[in-house]
Amino acid sequence: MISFQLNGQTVTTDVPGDTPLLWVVREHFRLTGSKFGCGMGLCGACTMHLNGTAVKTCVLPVAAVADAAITTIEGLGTVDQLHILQQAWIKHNVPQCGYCQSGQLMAAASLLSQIPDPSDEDIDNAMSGNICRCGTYPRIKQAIQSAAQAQGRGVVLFDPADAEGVSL
Amino acid sequence: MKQGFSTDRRDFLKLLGLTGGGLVLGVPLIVNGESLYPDSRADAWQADAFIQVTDQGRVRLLMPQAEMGQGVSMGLATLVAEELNMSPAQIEVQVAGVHKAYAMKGIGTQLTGGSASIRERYLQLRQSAATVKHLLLQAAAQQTQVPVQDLRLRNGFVEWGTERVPVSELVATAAVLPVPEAVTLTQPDQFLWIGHDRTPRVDALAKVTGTAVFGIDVEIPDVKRAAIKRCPVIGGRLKDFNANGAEQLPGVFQVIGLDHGVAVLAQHFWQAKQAIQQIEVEWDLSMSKLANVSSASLEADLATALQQQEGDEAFKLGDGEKALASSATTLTAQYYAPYLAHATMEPMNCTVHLQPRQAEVWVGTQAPGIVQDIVAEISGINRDNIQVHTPYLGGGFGRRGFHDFVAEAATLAKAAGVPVQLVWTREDDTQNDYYRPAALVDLQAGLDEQGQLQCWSAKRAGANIMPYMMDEAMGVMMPGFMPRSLVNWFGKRGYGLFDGWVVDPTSVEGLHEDYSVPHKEVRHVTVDPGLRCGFWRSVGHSFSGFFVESFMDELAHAGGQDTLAFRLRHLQDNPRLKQALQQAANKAGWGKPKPGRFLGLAAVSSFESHVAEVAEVSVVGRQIQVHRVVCVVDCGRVINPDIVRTQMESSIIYGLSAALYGEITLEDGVVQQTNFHNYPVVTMRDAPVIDVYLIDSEAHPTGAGEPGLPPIAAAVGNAVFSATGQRLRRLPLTLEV
Repeated sequence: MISFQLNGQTVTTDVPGDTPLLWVVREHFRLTGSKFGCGMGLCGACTMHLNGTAVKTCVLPVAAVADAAITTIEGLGTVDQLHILQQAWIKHNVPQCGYCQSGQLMAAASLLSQIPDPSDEDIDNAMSGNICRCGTYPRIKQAIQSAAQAQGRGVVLFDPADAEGVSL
Repeated sequence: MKQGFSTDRRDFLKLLGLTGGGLVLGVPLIVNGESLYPDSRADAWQADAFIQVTDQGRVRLLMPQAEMGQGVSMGLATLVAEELNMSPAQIEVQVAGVHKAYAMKGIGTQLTGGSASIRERYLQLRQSAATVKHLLLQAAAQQTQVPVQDLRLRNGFVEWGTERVPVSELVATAAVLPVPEAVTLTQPDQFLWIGHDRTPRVDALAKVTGTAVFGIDVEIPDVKRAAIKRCPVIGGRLKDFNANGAEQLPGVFQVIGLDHGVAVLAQHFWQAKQAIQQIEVEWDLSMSKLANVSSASLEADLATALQQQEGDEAFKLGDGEKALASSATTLTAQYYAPYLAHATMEPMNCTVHLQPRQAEVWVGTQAPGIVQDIVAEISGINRDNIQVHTPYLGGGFGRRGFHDFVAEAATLAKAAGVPVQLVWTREDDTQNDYYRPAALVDLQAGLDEQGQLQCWSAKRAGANIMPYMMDEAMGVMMPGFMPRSLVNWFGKRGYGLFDGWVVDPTSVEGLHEDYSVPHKEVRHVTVDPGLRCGFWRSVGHSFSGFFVESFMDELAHAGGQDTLAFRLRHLQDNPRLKQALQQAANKAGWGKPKPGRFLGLAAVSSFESHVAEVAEVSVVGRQIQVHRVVCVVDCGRVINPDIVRTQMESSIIYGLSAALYGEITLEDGVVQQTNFHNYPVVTMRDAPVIDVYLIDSEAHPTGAGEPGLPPIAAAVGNAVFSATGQRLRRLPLTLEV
């Protein structure tokens, strides 16, 4: 039996310890926001936080996260309470197909928690393990910068209620 | 992805009666009180194939296209929103099921590709929405006795004076009113949503919160997850296998031999994936044409074919040989582009639930009608009783127009008698693609003493996509009454079936069209080693753009002319591309590169849109760094400006992956690339800054998903030439030491 914190809740699983965390979270705990992309830790679609730091979970045995705190995209923010990066993602029109974006957001959130005001190079270093075939990189970079600035000033970049209410 | 039909083919299909009937606007197809549309609901007035208004006042768009990132759900919602005078954010977008009313003109089936969605749906959906608006206003006039000219539809209400009535109270009346033969569309100068970015993409919120559902996320009761151990050579057969205890592993439900591999069905995907490693397999490669093919010999075969074979004529204008003889300067060059994989972020996957007389399929597909047909053929279930659900596509780029993985999933579901979700690994995906065909081309041109092009010829050797496409698609293109065996026979014949269709248009598109030259000739030599081919973002233009725009650069230099001026003087018959090119050069500061930086330009018309790009590049050793790309696009009237920008960025980066890294190679028929470590793509670190400018146009909207791609490889290659003097004539661009 392996226990860990999943988005703040204690969960327990009896899967073999070498099962990658990604598949445990997706199929056993039914949180499907984290994606399977490569199975080799090369593309970052499966990125979650392990004790606050971004990790590739398609190659991370679940045994390695026993008693640790795991955060997935579902724990980063919700429609009602968007993380500043999620707001910035919408403001900068980042997602296209969207498949890699959970991983991109988790990698970016880990970066901002470590470096609140990252340089271009910091962003390149932190984000180059997350592949996006739609080519959203330039917008991801802008969104991270804009979230970094907004975060410091407590600014809201996007409120879903505003968009719904847009009418002329 | 270009639709694979020239106008001739469309006409021919019409003659045969093969095209699906176009939508008759505003005519609700209701028979005996029962709607023929797949997604009709009891709570809603189904105005036509596309629009429902519910008794709660919600407006639903039944979207006939697939959302694969290109923003079509926002684009189509915007068209409907404009005519209904409400925010696209207030429209519920739901992917439609399969119905002939959703077929694309000229193809006869539902297809998202060819950068055609907005081009084809622009008027159709606006007319549909305008009809709904007309009927709602008429219904309000009838119910309130207020003259219709005093009524106005806005934000889901019909308003007059200070009063208003919600549309929910009008649907019952509207549903039985006569449908007008003609409706008035909103005038462009009144547009509130078309051409503006007032609200985020309708799919944005779901995609930043991880709640967007892709095919791989579909969860149905009692589903078994499947993984397949496949023959490493496509086309190889399973001779024998020893499950070797795989069926006893935890969670494993069943081991199933297929023609081309062995599948394991398990409770969880990881269990299935682990279990297939246990299985011992013997393959039979005797039937695989591909088993003896390696990349080195393949390229040599293409070169030999170009040298020894005359090929088929694809286009001819004037008398090129005579013009060549009298040219002051002549130039020849040979260019190569390799096979490419699509590498969508979401690997192929499909979920199938077969029941005795009906079935449901959940699959990210660009062509749900073909899915229906394939599952019908495998299961024996009538295709009208097969429901296809299309969740979000984690990238398409043409790959999800081919459905081998659907056939696999349906086969497994039938064999096992349980619902099955088949998930491909990245290795499956990279090694079993429908690849962008490799192409080798001989280019030749002659200039007169003034440096004006007199003649132009292009001769391409390579495989064609059409036979692979027809193999799958014939079933939906042929009339339903035709016997299956005959449909299959037609499918196997491929494009060679039809007289006069000598050359697959996607094999030669883009090789001569853009510039004015009095004598032109395009020829084609088919050389197909057997590696299956498919539509890959921008299709033939993906290599033609590189060939033509690099060679134009060579010709300008050969004639001692500025590469911009040289292009402009040959674009008199293509004014929109000319304007885009001129503007791109201006925006990029053509002729005035920053120190240590070099500029290259390229311009290509494709999918009826016109795109020019200028790449700013530096070269250190053999390392090519692309710092910035300036892009100008004319795609007619723009529906969502920022989505067009994102599509240009997307195409540029997708094309840059191919320009710098992309190459699929074969060794004894085995695709050598398996995953992102040996099929690398552009990442954040090597992504350039991209500045996109949109040309303000009132022309009919045209494609945006692909036209940004064709110029990029040549723009970079031309900048590298300017930096190093090396003319790179093959992709991926590789500098000599």
